[in-house]
Amino acid sequence: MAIVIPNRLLDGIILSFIKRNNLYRRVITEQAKAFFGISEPTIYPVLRRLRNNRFLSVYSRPFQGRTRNYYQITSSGKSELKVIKKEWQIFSTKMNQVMGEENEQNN
Amino acid sequence: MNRIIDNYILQLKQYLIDLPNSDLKDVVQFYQEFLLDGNYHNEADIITELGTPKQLARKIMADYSVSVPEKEETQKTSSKSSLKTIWVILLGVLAAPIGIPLALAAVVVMVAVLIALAAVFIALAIVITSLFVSGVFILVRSFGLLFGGNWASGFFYVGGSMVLTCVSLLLFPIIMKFIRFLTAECAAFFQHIGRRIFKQRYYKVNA
Repeated sequence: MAIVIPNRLLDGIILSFIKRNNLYRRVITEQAKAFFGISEPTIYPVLRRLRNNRFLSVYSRPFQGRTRNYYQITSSGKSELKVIKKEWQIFSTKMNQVMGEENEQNN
Repeated sequence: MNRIIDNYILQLKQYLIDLPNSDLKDVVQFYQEFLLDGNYHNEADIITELGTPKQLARKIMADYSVSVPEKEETQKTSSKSSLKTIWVILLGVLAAPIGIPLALAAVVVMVAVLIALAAVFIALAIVITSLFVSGVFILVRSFGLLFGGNWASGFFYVGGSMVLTCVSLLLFPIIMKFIRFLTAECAAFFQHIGRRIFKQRYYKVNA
């Protein structure tokens, strides 16, 4: 079975990762892969979109003679994440109610 | 190791040459850093993760082409750039995971639309050239009539041929405009389909 992850939730996933720690690109994509099996070419557009909407900001730090770009959540990113979280909670509660009831009937 | 990454990035850049400069820099920098932070031993490792430079470039281009706002896209487009958009999206859909039945259906629809579009182009081209050619042909032939005694029908045919030629010349810009409109609409339609496919992410749930 395959479940489609909508953009809204992808935003939520990435924002949550970065809210906990400022992360560089490799780590973000690896976490997304570890949790949901989302592949790298999916992550780039999400990060770009979040950055264009100013939910994320980028700063660079030198690392072994090159620069590494770290992502940081902005204040509007934090409030966006709150909204997504709320939406997801409402949706998942309903989903659980619906599927929970059906289970009981079947048993 | 760095040489392998440089090589991959260089190839990627070549396939992304159509991207606007700032976007190209951004995406290249992104993947460069991604690869440098990874633990790869050879090119095959990179390809398992990201695909070949060509495949990755197609995905990037496809994503880019559907992210450009439709309005902006259709306002100042030439047929050439519309056709390019169509082409890029088609390649991008082909690069999408085969497991998505939607992608397959989309490819079939897109190819059908392209064939229809080509048919319309060809039909219009035939109409306009046949009008023009027959106009000129009748004009040339009617000179014979004109000087051969039957001047009345000679004039009739000269007039008729001029009408045909002029109509074909007048129609030409209108048809060009219509073709431009049609390709722009097609590009918008492809963007619409592309968006539906690329904007959905699938992941397997093992229950």
